[in-house]
Amino acid sequence: MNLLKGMFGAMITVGLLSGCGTSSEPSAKSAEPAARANKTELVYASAKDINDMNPHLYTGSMPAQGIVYESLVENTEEGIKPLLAESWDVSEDGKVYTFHLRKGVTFHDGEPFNAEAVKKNIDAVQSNAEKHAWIKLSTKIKETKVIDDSTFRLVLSEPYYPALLELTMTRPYVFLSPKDFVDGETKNGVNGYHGTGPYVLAEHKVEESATFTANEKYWNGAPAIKKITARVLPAGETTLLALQKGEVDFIFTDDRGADSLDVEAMNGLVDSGKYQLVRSDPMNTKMIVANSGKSGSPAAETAVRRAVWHAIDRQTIARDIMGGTETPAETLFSANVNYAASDLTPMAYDPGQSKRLLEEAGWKADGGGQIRMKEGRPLKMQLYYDSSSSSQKTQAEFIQHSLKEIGAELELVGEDSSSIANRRATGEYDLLFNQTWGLAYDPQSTIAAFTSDSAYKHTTSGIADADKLYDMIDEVMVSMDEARRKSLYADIMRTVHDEAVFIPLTNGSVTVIAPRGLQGVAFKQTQFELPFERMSFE
Amino acid sequence: MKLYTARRLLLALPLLLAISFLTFVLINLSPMDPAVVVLQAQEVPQITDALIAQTKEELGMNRPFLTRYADWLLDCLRLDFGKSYVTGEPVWSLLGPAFLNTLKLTLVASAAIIFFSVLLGVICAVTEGRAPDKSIRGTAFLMTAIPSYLLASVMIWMFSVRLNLLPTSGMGTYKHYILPASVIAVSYAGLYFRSVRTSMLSQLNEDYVLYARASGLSEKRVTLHILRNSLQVAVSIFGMAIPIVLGSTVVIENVFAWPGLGRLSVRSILGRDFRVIQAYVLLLASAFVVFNTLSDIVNAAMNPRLRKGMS
Repeated sequence: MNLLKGMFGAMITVGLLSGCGTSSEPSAKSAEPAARANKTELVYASAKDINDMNPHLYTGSMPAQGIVYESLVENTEEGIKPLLAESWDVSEDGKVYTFHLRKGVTFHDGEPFNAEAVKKNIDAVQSNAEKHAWIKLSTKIKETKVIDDSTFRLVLSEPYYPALLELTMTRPYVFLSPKDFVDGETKNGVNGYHGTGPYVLAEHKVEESATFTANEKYWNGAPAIKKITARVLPAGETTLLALQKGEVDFIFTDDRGADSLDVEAMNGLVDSGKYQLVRSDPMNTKMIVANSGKSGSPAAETAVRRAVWHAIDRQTIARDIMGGTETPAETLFSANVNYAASDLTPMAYDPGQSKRLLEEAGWKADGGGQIRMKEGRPLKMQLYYDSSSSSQKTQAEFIQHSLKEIGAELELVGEDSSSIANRRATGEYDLLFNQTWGLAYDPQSTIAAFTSDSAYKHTTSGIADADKLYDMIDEVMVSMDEARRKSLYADIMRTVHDEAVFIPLTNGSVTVIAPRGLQGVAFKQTQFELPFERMSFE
Repeated sequence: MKLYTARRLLLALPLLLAISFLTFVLINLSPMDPAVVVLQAQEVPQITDALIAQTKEELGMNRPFLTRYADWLLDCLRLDFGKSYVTGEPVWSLLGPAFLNTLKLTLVASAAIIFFSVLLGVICAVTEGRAPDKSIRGTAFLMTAIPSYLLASVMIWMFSVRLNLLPTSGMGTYKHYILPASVIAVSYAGLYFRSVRTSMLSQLNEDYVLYARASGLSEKRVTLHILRNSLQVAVSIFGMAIPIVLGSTVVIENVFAWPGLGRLSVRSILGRDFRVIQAYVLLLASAFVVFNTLSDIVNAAMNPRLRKGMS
């Protein structure tokens, strides 16, 4: 009894303490993020360290690599534009690319950027080609040639239309000062991280922060924001508090599309008047991948896959589960993706249609049974989701409920992301959550992955026209005829749409929270980079 | 005394060996191909069969299990823990700084834990059954019941955002230690002061206390005698507490963005960076042995009776 009294007293004390907190003027003493001394600094929060900044490997932070390194050409909304190459010529047969390099560009360590440096970098990437198998250009480069100091030639083994597009990517075809190479290579580590980009990596405290300073000699003019700090904040709650305090004043959805801040927190920051929220166009498509190649699984049947597609209410997922940060997706690629087919038959939310499809395919709901049966087998599948993503879990539960309505049972299995990737590669799944590679890589890389064992080979191998599909994919990558390419892409997209192997859910985008006074908050044609060099305070 | 210490440390060797072997076995029980796991951790977008074969060759994963273990063990004896599968950096260059960061935080927190445990324990024992005893125990009960991430968030909000006194997170000045060390101290001091209290209370009934009082020693002197004797239990507990805190700072390190061992270990486990995990387990096991031995030595120094038994 006396102990209880003690506890009661303690509770009152705690209550009083927290009461004191709420009664004071909210954020009265917090530093204004916009009131940084000279308004030329940004501090962004990132859940992960920038890691190894070697641009020819894959563990580094892409937003950080994006401001330090540059590619020959740039991917823009209007198509491929010059960057480190001022112009280029492509031979008639589509195999020889000649680049005329920008003159007077230097690396951050003062080394000149010239044809020799380009050759060394591309050769270094090619000597580790197996790691770059995803970027098909790496399998087609036959020769790299220095013509003169500012002319570089790339010779391919066969024509490959996305060659220029793949040269725009954040990695691996970007340029590191040859002085940083170790024994002429980059695959076993590098001595430094000197690129040609608008920012210089000035300091890196592992797992704490990284500081980037403006490259005052940048060929396109020194950026207005003079200092960018990337602070590692693994916990979303702390990130929010650091934003409120002004220790951090910029965040964006990270590489993985994992949102460390929830919608409510973001809105709260905007309502405080200190921050603005800017959201990009769709950058990728979140989807459920169905294993058409797993014999014995209901997911191997087109009718079942289509039934699943019709049974999912994407509006509700986008509005209620994603809190309006994402938009419903009706097709594998959103309309702003190159070659996105526009004539696909929409498969709207219609549980009635799902039931009809299942009935026709022989999945019968006998008497009072909850789950449909066919030839003694229940309509039961497993859906794998990333256990570290709370939104995937919620979506999975929602979809489980929706499928129950049409007489299908879904078992939900949460696993870590590498186990899911492993399932995708080995084909041990019925359904799993996944997403397209993103605007810079769609459709070509995502579609090329349809034929890859470690990616979507199992997903696509069970459909009726699989071989024809793979032939079309092979052809589209080498076709130099734009009209032909268009029609091939349309056919490929129609095939996977009608077969319902990639069941789209929502379109994801990049969300930025930035200080209110920051101008020029925009996006690139990729979710992995931000154009900090174009931002400035008013 | 020296002999005793040497014997204790020698006894630890077979223990560490057993622990390392067990970790090696457990890690190798993972159903996934270790080469695939490494490549995924390196975030290679597309993993081909040729690449898997190449990686296995490079990392010597083709060799038999026991050979790999023996090689690893020999390297460890030369203090070479190999290179991280993921980043290619020497394991020690990852583990060393992270260990130091966590150790610094742990030592500050442990000092706070010891100070508050002894202080509160003594107050409670002296005022047994009265108001101070009860309210301290009640409050401690409540505070230890609060999950540390919640307590941490509330404290950041209070002291950092509202009162603007301390930084929210990160490492740097002494100010950065205050919040994380306090959160750890609250969780553990709330448990350990009870041991101090209990052992003091049990000492109260000893003959020497009666004798001391009968001889007319002041109550203050009597309490000091009791404290010295009851601290033996406490020292053992604290000896274990330090490695426990060392190994369980993951949550605190995450919330306070502390670049320490907890975060490194979680990252390595998720990335299946076996070499880092192996070294981490060994390091932590060693920490347990060392601190446990240390606490025995301190106890021996404090209690002549224990010293006699040794020689």
